[in-house]
Amino acid sequence: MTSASQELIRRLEIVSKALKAAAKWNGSDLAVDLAAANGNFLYELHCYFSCAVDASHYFTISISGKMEGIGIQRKANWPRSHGKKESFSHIVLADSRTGDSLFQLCPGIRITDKFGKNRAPDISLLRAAASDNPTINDVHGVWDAKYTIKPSGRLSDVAVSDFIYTFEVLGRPTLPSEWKTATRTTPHNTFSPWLRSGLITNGQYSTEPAAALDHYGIGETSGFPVLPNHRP
Amino acid sequence: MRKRYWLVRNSPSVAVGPSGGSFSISSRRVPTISQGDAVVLMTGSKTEDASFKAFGSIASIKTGAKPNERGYLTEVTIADVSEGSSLDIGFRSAMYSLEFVKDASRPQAYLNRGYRVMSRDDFETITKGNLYVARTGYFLLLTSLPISSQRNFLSSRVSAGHDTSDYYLMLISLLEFIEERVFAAGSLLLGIREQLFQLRQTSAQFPTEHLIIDEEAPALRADSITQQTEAFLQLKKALSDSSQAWREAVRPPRDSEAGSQMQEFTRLLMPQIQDDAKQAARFKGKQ
Repeated sequence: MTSASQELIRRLEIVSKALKAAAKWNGSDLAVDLAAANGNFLYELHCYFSCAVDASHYFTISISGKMEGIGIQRKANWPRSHGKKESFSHIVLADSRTGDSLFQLCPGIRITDKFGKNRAPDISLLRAAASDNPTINDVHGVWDAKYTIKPSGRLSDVAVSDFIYTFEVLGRPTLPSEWKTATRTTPHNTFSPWLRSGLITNGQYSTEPAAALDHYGIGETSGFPVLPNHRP
Repeated sequence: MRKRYWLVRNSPSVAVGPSGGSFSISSRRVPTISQGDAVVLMTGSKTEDASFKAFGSIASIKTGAKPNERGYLTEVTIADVSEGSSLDIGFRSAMYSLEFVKDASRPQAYLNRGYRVMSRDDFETITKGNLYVARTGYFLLLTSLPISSQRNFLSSRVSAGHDTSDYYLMLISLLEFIEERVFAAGSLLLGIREQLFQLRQTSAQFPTEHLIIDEEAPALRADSITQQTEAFLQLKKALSDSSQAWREAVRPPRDSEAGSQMQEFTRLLMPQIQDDAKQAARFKGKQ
């Protein structure tokens, strides 16, 4: 005879066994924890690849930068936390008619600001000729991704002012018209997080007025990717 | 003399007869087992393989008059043996329902001796298979998390002022913690996998394998997105298989249909473990 409690515990044993593998990263043994100090990186990568997918509707994409292995076997390297550009892969966007490289779309890499200090936005759009040590002369656009555990959570005002400062010391980069045309024609239709540099969150907007965002030339995308909205 | 309850297993000092109807003990002192006491026989010696096999009552007990080099030899016979006890669950899962396992982080300590006395409640828990599901589920899930996550969870509960021996509430909080930090990470991974698939569709040059790396860490410490997504899909499957099995048995509140596999699992599990008032009282204050 099997009692109801034993049956429940058998189920819990199965779930626990599966949880054990899912709760720990397979190579590094680090905890899978979105709220941990470096837990935000999965969301950063999700936003980064989302940008790449949108761009792939217009540009021809290819991969470049640091990789493991060679040829068909090679594996792309993506950051758990920010680092040097040469440590990671990045995606190259080319004109789909001419094949000319136009941009590099990079994950969390360091860019030297106008005072010589390193900044590391979560996503950056660089010119095609940017070297492994990019500077403000290479940057077209930057984005930061902020994950909140509760979707009701707000993007903090401090995150916004911090981003505005980074945007300023990176020389207020402007997105080229070719990029704007491209991202405007992606399936989002009504808006695109990529039409302005800015912040992206799965939670709610910050309490900063839209006019302030507009004044500093940045945007905010909330509820991304489930129920996205964009301002100003 | 008051009836006592014993747990007995094969060990250097105890030999259980092949039929399970008798056992013998070598001991320096004469064992205090008495006729009429109840006994549970265990098999296995490690936490992972130990399980409960049979139970019965002591029919006769005979201790040799003179000790030999290994001490006194006591021959015990068991009556009314119930073979294949109702409890065909291992010690590892049963231990969270047993009071004599005072520290579940070192279960082996409770398997070192060949025989030990236990409470009547523990005896009935074993023989009736009536396990404390909330406490068991809580510890099974908690100990499946990496140590750093376990610590984060416990400190968040302590600072929230929770009674950490209220296992029903602790299990609810833990399931929510897993939902928010692990399961939600899995959902992001699935999203990333889908995006990488789309990118690969547009560019044959795009790799199929993607690694997460730390700038400073050696390459062999890289995490494979594919492998991690697989692990997450296994968890999703384990959760939805359980929910599938419970959906017939449990009627969840009507207004709560939506949500992740984790949320559905929680919703279907909780009504089944609320009936633990007696067990909750026994383990009150025990961590």
